[in-house]
Amino acid sequence: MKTIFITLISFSLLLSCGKNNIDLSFVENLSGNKIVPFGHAGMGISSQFPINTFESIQCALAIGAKGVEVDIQMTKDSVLVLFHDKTLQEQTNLDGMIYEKNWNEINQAIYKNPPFAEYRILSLNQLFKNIENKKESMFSLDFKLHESNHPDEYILKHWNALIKVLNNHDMAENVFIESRRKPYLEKLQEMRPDLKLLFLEEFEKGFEYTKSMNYYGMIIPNSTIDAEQIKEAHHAGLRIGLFGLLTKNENLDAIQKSPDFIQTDKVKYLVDVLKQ
Amino acid sequence: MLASKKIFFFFLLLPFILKSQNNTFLKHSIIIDIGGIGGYGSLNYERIFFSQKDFFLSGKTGVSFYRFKDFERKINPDLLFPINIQGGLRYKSHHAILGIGQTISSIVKASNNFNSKTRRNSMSANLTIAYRFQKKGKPYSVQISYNPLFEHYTRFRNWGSLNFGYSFVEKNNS
Repeated sequence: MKTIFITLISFSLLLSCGKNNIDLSFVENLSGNKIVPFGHAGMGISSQFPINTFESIQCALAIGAKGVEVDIQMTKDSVLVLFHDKTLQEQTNLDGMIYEKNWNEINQAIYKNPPFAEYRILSLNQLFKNIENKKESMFSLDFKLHESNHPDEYILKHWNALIKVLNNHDMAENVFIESRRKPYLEKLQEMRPDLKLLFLEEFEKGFEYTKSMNYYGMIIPNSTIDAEQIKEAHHAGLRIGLFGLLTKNENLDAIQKSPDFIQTDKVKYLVDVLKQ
Repeated sequence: MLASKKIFFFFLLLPFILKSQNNTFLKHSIIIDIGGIGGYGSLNYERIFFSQKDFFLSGKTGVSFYRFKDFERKINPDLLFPINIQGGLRYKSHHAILGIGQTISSIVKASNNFNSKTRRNSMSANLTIAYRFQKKGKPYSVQISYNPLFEHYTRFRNWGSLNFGYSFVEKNNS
């Protein structure tokens, strides 16, 4: 019994020592043959920090992520805020939608979890104003457009608000703009052709469109793309980011495909693996 | 603030001030809470300081934490100290328990304008309505509780817990 116990302990220690030793010399992409680790909405959905909070984002960067993906919505008075869900009630002490409320109301919102902690909703302006080493980091802004009808004026308001924040903080070089809505990206490209736009779609549905629009690249669920397709995108000059990576195995699977960046929910693990 | 400090010390010291009247209950227990008044979980010590026939009064205090390192990855733990006083009635192996208490929280977060790091120390009220199963004189117990929390005395939260206890059997207990 004792021998079995010692063997098991030794075996697990051996496994834990060797778990991150992965040869990355096979990586070929458009980012200097290095895969850039991004935190998904900060530290990811399994962290005790609520996603898209200042604490979660700062923690991901402090761990060593080179960037973070964050979800962006716009308030009624055109303030861009970091929030994922369509409605506020599940995650916070407020009801309703972000776009129905002014910033002074959203600014009072408290995340419900964890109990006793009282983390708060952050604006994009506050993020860029206060985050450490922002010029050494990348921010992938995933615009959540929950309103069902999107008149041109609404699109314009969104992008004007974004451009204002980027100009104020000189962050245009440090952001990716993600959206799955073609008219939104097309309008932004028209307004600011220098921005790095990522079309959020499965490879087969979005590759030709992204190539024809000469966007920076695509952001794609890991489970819907293989290494050959990523190679094809690279040949076409498109960067590929992968998301939907909740487990260590999914992260390893994503690495094997040589994407340009990975948005992970296992930030520390991915950073450790890619450090080599 | 002074009033809340007094309440805190009252709850903290109560088990040690009052003396047990007899030994029909096992006095000392270690309890692991999943959920409950310590947030997501806590490790607790419970002491029965008064018991008469099938009624008992106890004090319970514990510790819990969310993380050791703060959001800048410095060692700077978030700490929670759940404290409560509870009364219970026993019928055979079944116990109905009612308790009130405080949770002291010490959480590291960004300041309100996100330009600095701050540790917020605060108190919250809690209530326990519970059912416990423990055979008379036996060490193991399991309890399910409804724990409404009044966080920082400003927000109500429906909360609950499942806990597992181990009571130390004393030689003179029957």
